[in-house]
Amino acid sequence: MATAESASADLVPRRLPVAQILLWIFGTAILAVVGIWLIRNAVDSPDRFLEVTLIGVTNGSVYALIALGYTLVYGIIELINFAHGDNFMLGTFQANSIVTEGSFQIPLFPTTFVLGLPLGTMAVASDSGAHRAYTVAMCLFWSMLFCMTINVAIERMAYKPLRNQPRLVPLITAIGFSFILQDVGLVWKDAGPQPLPSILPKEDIFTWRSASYSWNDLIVVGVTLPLLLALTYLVRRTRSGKAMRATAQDMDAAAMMGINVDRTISFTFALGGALAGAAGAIYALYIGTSKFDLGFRLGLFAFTAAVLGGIGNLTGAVLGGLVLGLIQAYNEGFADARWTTTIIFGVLILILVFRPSGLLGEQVPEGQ
Amino acid sequence: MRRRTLLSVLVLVVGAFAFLAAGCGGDDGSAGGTGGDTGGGGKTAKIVSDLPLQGSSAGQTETMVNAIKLYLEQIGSKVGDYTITYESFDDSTAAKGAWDEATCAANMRQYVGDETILGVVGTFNSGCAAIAIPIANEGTLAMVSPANTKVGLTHVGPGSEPGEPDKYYPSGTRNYTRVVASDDFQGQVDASYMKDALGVTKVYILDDKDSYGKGVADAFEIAAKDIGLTVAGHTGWDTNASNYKALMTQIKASGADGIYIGGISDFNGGQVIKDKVSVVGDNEAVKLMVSDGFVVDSLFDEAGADNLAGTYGSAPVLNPSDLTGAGKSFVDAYTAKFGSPEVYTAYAAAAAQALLDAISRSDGSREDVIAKLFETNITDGIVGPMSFNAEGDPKQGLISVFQAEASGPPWKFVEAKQLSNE
Repeated sequence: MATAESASADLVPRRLPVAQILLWIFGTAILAVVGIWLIRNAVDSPDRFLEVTLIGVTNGSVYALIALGYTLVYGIIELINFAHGDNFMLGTFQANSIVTEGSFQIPLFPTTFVLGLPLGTMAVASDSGAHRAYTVAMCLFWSMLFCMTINVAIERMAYKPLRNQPRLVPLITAIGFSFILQDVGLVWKDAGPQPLPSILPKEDIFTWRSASYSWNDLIVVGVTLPLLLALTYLVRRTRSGKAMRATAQDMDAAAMMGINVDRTISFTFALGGALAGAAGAIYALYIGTSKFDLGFRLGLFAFTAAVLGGIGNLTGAVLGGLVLGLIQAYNEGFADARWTTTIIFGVLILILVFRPSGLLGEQVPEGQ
Repeated sequence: MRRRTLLSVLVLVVGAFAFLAAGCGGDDGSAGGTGGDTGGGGKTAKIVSDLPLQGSSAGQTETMVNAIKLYLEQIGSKVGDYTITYESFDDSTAAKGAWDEATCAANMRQYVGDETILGVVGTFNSGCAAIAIPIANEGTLAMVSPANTKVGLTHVGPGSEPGEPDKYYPSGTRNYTRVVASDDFQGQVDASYMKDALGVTKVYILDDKDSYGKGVADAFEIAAKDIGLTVAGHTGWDTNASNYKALMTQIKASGADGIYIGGISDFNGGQVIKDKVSVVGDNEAVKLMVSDGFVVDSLFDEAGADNLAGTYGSAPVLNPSDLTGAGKSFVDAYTAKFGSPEVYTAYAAAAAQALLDAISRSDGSREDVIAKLFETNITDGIVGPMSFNAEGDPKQGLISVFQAEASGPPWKFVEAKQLSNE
């Protein structure tokens, strides 16, 4: 037995996986260089390092909020809902209407008419805290409702009839809806940047040397984390969550067990839409400007974040968003802003080469 | 394994999608040119304007179209023996909200193909001109730009790139002139203004990575180093990013007491200024000066008037209210008919004036219109005396300095620097 083994080993010399080893050395070297570079910056100017880190976490939270919507839907029916980013953009426009015009609006696409429901929420920075808080709450509520409705409607119209078709088919209708929603935004609010007054409190929570952190930064993070926890709870612990997980594992078996698959998928899309709405409201209030073509770029970043963290994995989406935000901030804060996109996607390629299923691993339907 | 393959296919699709969205999106947003009717006794000629009529330049460019129409009306649509028809074309797309490469090229090909067209007033953006000029050059078509300032379009200088300007003129003969001074002059004036008038010692330079923005910023950097102004850094901003706070922390840490921005405000300029003020400090503490692509009224809304207040801007033009002579009477007539003009309004009429003057002296061929254009010598033009040097640059030019006030638009005129460019 032993001789046979050594004989065959002599005949076919065992090859070292040279390529793989080189890849590992290369990857580790890059990570080490980046690590040393970051540590050097942190030691050189700890206050600035802290400030840049906080900016990265805040921007990353916005990516994470959008990424959650992508990952939720992908986790159930393996569809990249490309319209999600543009749905998010419509959420920012809804928040814009609520703050600048004081009304919830329904654009009657393709006409330029807009139905308005007056809410008395028009606000500027100098208004009382209570009024601004009311406006922020209304922004969140109505944007979530608005985007939720759009998402469910899109699922009914463009994805449900194609559920048993090859996977590329609903992907194309998703891209189609992405463009349609962009045009809805264009007709609704026009082409230029749409500014709105900053009504989130801007007072600093703490300052340390040149670094400062203000309430509006905290609000962005403060919306993302509870939403993640609530979603995780919903998916892991509730009846609807169980139905979602069952549908994800095997749609036919779930249907045989008495789960209403259609309703479960609709529910998933409603959740995804609500997340887009929340992200939209937070983005509009925090950044203070939005534009009709915003969804494409941010959607792409968020999708990247979702893949980075492990598509279908809720915690992964948040982690991916934060990693993306941090890479962007460190690059712009300490290196050359000119190359941000290259750096972000370079990191994406590196991570996917070493961990093809993302940082925390994929969670997708089993079987095909 | 199968799942992994699927994921890579999806990533590829995403990549292709991104590529397509960035590269294409060029629908020819313009009506087809109507064929020229050559009925009647006198000779007819057609001119067109090529401007970005959608996006945040739209407010400006609409007044430019109106100004050309008004000028034609004032001269009864006649110059010399020629009856002039005019058509306005759009080189922007709704989807981009700014000028678009494919549209610029398609428009120019259309003008070249329409033999009744003897000249083009345009373009507005230098990036668009870099695409359009070679096409016009091969079609022997005269261009007069009311607003292009990119150095390399006409001559070698600070900020021009290798191969410029010859690569724009494949036929070897010039066909392009402009009525405003180029960015190297603007960069020089801005650098000395920041140093002498604003007392800046260390400047950080930002550009939008576009042809125009990078050009003016490069010219500024060269001029700044020449006069002993320390350059703390020079980078470009990601025009699609949601904010620039991290970038601004780097500028703050560099210890710069002045920031210079070269670019156009369409590329997320409002956000750049907002984040500059929130991270680096207000425009009193750290001086901010912007190139003429930022000197637009819509920026007061996009950046917030409070954030913009105190910002200095330069432009190779005079404000409508500071024009004199023929310019003043033109602006008065414009105001009576269309309301308040923008900065480039009168310059569009001046470009049309130069083009029509050349057509009136020509024999009606495209070659001769170009030849006569370079012999232009208008003494009492709408924006002052006008003549061009052999490279197509104006012999008389100026750079104005403006300042933004918290009370809102328009930009307030501070002073003008005269240039001679024989």
